[in-house]
Amino acid sequence: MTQVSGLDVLTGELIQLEGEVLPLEPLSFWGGVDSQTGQIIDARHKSYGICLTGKIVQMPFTKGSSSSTSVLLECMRVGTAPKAMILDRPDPIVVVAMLVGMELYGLRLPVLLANNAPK
Amino acid sequence: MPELHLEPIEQAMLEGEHGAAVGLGMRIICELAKTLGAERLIPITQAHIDGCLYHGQASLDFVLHLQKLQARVAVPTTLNVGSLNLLHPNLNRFAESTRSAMQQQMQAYTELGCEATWTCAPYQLPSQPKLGEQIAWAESNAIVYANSLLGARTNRYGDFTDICAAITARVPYVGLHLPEARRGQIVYDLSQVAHFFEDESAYAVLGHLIGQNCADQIPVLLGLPAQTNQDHFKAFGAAAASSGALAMFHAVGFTPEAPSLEAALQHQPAPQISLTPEAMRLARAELSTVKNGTRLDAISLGTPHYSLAEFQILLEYVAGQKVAVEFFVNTNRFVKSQLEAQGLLEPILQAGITLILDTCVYLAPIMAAEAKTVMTSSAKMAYYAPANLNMGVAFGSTFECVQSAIRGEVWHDPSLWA
Repeated sequence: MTQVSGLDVLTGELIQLEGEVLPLEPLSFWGGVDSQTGQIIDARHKSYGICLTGKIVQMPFTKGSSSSTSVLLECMRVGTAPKAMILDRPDPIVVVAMLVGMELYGLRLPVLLANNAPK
Repeated sequence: MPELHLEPIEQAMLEGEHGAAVGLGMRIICELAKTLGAERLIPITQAHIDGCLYHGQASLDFVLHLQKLQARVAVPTTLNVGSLNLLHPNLNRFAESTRSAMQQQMQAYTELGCEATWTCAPYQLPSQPKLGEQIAWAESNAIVYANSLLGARTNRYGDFTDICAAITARVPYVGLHLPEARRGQIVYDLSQVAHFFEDESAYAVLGHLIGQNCADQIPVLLGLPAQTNQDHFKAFGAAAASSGALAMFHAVGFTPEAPSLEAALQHQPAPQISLTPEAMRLARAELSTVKNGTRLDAISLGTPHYSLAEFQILLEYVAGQKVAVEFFVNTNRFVKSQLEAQGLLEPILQAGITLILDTCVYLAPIMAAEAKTVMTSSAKMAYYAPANLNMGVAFGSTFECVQSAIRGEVWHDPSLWA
């Protein structure tokens, strides 16, 4: 268990989280994550095979497909999503999955901005 | 955080005075705007929706919710590929229940007022946006093309944002909507690798390489050959938006905002990298997971969707021969009607080529279940096929794909890339 903190992307408040932190290189959820298992399926990704479910996933930004929002939302609905996401920038691909998850299912996915994010 | 200021009409939309659907769309756009630090919203003239593609119940739930709230798009809105060919929805190996959910999702988007364009190359439709237009596009390759070749302005929008923007005709006024954010940030000098571009596949390879290399910066391409055409840029952009997070590039002499290197950089300094032949060869090799001589089960071209000009080149290469393996080309109904009008559809079908409309081979189980190896001229297909389709993939030029299809095994021209 590790303690991490970041700024809540919605409120700008400093938030503390505890859990297993998984640092990742940029990932496309679509074509990169199986929403049914939460596993990384992009064989070209350095963390191929690792499961995101329940982890605090930290990456600078998402790459690749604009369908990633749907895949992340489906992970939230199925229960395979990360516990939280920490990004360098407020990437709309992730932020909107969080917003729609709240609207549609009342589900929460904390999205934080890294304290030490490069500008 | 800066405060978001809304116009009176936007405030009314947010408060539900224009209906519940507009209220929901505005809530999401405004929340997104706040996270991005936007001080205001900006009206858009058109939208392109990627959300019509089925990724499980969640993607269907959202559009059905919008439909229940009687949502309608407020600007002309095109649709990306769906999961099925709607004219032949059974030509795949999806389970019946999945197929019907996919069909329902595609149908629902048309009922919100979106046009049934079903293409990932909306920039090659007559409705393409113009220089300086503020738009909200999803589909990674289309975003790159709109910003870089048309000079229209869009951020990297994804599912749900796209339709919320279409319903409200607004997006946060941040990022690539602002002229100063469109400045080139890293220059790639191509003079050492210029000779590779005699082979059309070099554009996709370059995209794959730069997408990995430039992180989320805007690259500037210096030294592309004068004959570089829109399909070359399509291949480049799709590759870079798959291996990376590219939303815009400047090709000096081609991008409307980049008549010169200085203009691309908005007269500011930027680091410069000279690409080496070794880096290009390595990037090309990365795109294939199988070796020359591997028995081939299928060819798939047209990720993104094939244009009329690409079909004309393909027909020259095919030259009346017949292919020995399943040969798919993904395209849209607009291009198909152009092919029919020019009498080109018949020779394509006679060569043994199958057109895939409305969708794409890498999205749906269209190829035979026992197919193990596919060859493609698209770096985007080559990037995603191993994970999406669980197949080996070979990347090559269109000519190499045709030759391989006739031989029935993966073949690369040994005289190229030496």
